[in-house]
Amino acid sequence: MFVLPTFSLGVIGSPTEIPVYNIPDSTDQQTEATILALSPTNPSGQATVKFGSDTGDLYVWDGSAWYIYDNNYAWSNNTYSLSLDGTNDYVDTNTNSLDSSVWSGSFSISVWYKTPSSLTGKDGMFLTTGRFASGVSQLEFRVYQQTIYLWFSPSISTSSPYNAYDADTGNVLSANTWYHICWTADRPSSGTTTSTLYLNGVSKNLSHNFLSSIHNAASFSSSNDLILGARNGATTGAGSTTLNLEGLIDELAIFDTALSSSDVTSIYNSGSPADLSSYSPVAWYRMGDNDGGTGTTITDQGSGGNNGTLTNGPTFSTTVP
Amino acid sequence: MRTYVIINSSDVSSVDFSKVAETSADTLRYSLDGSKTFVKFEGDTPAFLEGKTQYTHSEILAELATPEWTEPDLYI
Repeated sequence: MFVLPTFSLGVIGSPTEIPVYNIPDSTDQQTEATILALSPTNPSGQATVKFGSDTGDLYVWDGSAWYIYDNNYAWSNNTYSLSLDGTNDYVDTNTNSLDSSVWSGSFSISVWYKTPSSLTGKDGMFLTTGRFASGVSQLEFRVYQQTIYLWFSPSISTSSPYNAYDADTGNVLSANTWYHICWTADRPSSGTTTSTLYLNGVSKNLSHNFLSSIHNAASFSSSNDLILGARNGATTGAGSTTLNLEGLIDELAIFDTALSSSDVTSIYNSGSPADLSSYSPVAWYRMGDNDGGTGTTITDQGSGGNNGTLTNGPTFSTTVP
Repeated sequence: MRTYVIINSSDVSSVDFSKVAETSADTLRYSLDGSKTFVKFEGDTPAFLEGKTQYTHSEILAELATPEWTEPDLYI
């Protein structure tokens, strides 16, 4: 069931506000549905609605006349985020297919994150894939207290210094605050990788940016699932997690391009999550908005179709950016 | 409000996963030496966890931050 949350509509005639519930599946938007739609002449009763698949407008029949409601909500509201308790919960995407389709070339990762009430000692992953083992690929997108860390290597050398593959922002985060965080990695066919970290749409300086020395052409390969919210300790698949993230995450999306600065500015959208459809995400986890805020599956709204499985009890929250 | 209980890994077979938030034995987080794990629940204490030490969220986070549960950091 596709559920539209309550939203305001501009009405041809006199303005009003209409709660709308249980619109049928979006692929069948012209099917009639009985909703609590209040027409100007029937302000307290039920009405029948048709949903214009081309315009998004609502056509309401109250038993005596049709009323056209201009849909000005622009984008389905962001109603849910995902709450992670920082102990052992995470999201398993059940795939490593992005190794070749995304991480082996240019990529971007966009996420909204609300920090917990205290950052002291807090250490967790937005996402990770691969693992730390000789010759194995590994990617980690991490927050440690006030600092955001990026870690990327197509081929780990365990004899190298551990910090040979990372970059960090320094202290940039405060407690109990929503942030939009976006990591873009431009990996051209020749040359080296250029990573940029945007915080609330603004590029941040990266300390000891060893990522710049990574060979761009190296392919990424692992036998681990991409997981959200923890470091993956399993040799294959997912499990034995550590560095579980505490806080709320929302609208986590992965792209197979390095988004431009203007793209990131638009996605940040002055602090209100924007529709990502036009950026063609490979993965887009809306954290409950397309799943009614219930169940243990996060339906991937990206092109990859790699649904996430809530593991060890993450919960949906109605606190959103 | 969630409550957390640390158990011995040898007791995992007694866990009724319909009574806790964890998904399965395969997804549990273990101490670094593999001897302990933990589960969480809401509401009444499941019978198989009665008599064991209970932790609040902040208490279990402090426990998990110790070297018994968290490996030395790779790059921080």
